[in-house]
Amino acid sequence: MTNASRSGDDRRDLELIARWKTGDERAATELVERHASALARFALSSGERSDVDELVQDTFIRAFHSLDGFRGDSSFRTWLFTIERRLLLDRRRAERRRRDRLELQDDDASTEYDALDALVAGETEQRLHHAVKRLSPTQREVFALRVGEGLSYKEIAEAVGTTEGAARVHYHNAMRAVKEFLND
Amino acid sequence: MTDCPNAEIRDRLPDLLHERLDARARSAVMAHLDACGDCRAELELLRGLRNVLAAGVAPVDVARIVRALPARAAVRRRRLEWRIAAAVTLLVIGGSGAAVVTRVGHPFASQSTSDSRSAVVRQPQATPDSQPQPSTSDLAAAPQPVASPRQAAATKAAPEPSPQQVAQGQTETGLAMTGRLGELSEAELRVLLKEIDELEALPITEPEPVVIPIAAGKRVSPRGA
Repeated sequence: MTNASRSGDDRRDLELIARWKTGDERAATELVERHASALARFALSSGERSDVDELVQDTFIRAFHSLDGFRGDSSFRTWLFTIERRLLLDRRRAERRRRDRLELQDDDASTEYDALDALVAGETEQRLHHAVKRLSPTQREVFALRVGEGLSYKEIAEAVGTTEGAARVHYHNAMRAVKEFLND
Repeated sequence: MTDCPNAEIRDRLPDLLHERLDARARSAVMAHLDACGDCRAELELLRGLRNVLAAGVAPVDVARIVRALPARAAVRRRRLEWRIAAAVTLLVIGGSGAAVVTRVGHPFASQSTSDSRSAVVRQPQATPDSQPQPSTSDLAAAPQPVASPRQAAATKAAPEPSPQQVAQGQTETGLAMTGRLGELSEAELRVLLKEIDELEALPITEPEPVVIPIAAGKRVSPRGA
């Protein structure tokens, strides 16, 4: 089904990683350029309100420290999403402990997503934004990776630590919820 | 907005949006779109949602991130040090390896195993016949954990290797501890790791002889009760 262009992207990533391993530091620059924006988008659409830059930077630092362990079983970008998501979860746990608050429930998800409100301009976009922000955190993660980044269910499953089938169900449930909100 | 009953096509719409379909799949989806208003509407919705998801993302400062990245050489060295530290830890935890550095009277006995000093050098290949067999009293007097007789003898006979010797691969001298990992060059670390990898039968899992002192005339049950 998919796809020549992504395979080419993956090959390019592997070439750059190999070059970096031989000491070519410029390869690191290109790897960051290729994936930093996608990581920032995912962070924001996952509800990260502040320090997105820092999160993206930490993701790359963690990735480059572990690059010898990257076997290429998944795409480099999927691997980066996995790392970023773990960092995001760590941050949230730390923040929860700091605030001494109860664990965030799915029903409370919209409270962490208000940062984007001011950034989405038109009325249609506002409605779409509100539709997305009502999704549960898991649905939103899957939806962001599927619609925002175009990942396959297999890649999403790797990134969020679930199965392909579960990722597909989350996506379709999210899509149904978005449509229901827009139809109201 | 209603859902098209063709779930397979709907499933592929995000792939079409991101141009992730091969030519054949793309043709099939496009042909379906020509005839299906629901799927065209869903594709438009997905396009709008993708834009919303990308909204508000500030440009990332690539240069700043790159400056913060670890240099390749540093990562490689750190990884090497971790591998060596892990290998040495396994040797020490294994039991008999630790005895080599803690044995009383050994030139390196004053160096603690806990201070991360660890330069391990291959012990000479001696035949079992050439090894002295310690008496049970020697074994009982030795501090625990106890090295195997073969290792202890090999270590006693080993002069301290210089880092240059290690780097040059002149390592046929014995198993010993010297210097901090951080003081070794990368070449030395690699030689060290190679030597650890090539160590045979370490840690030794064979049980050591146990001497149970029995007072004359006193009967001891097998359970020692």
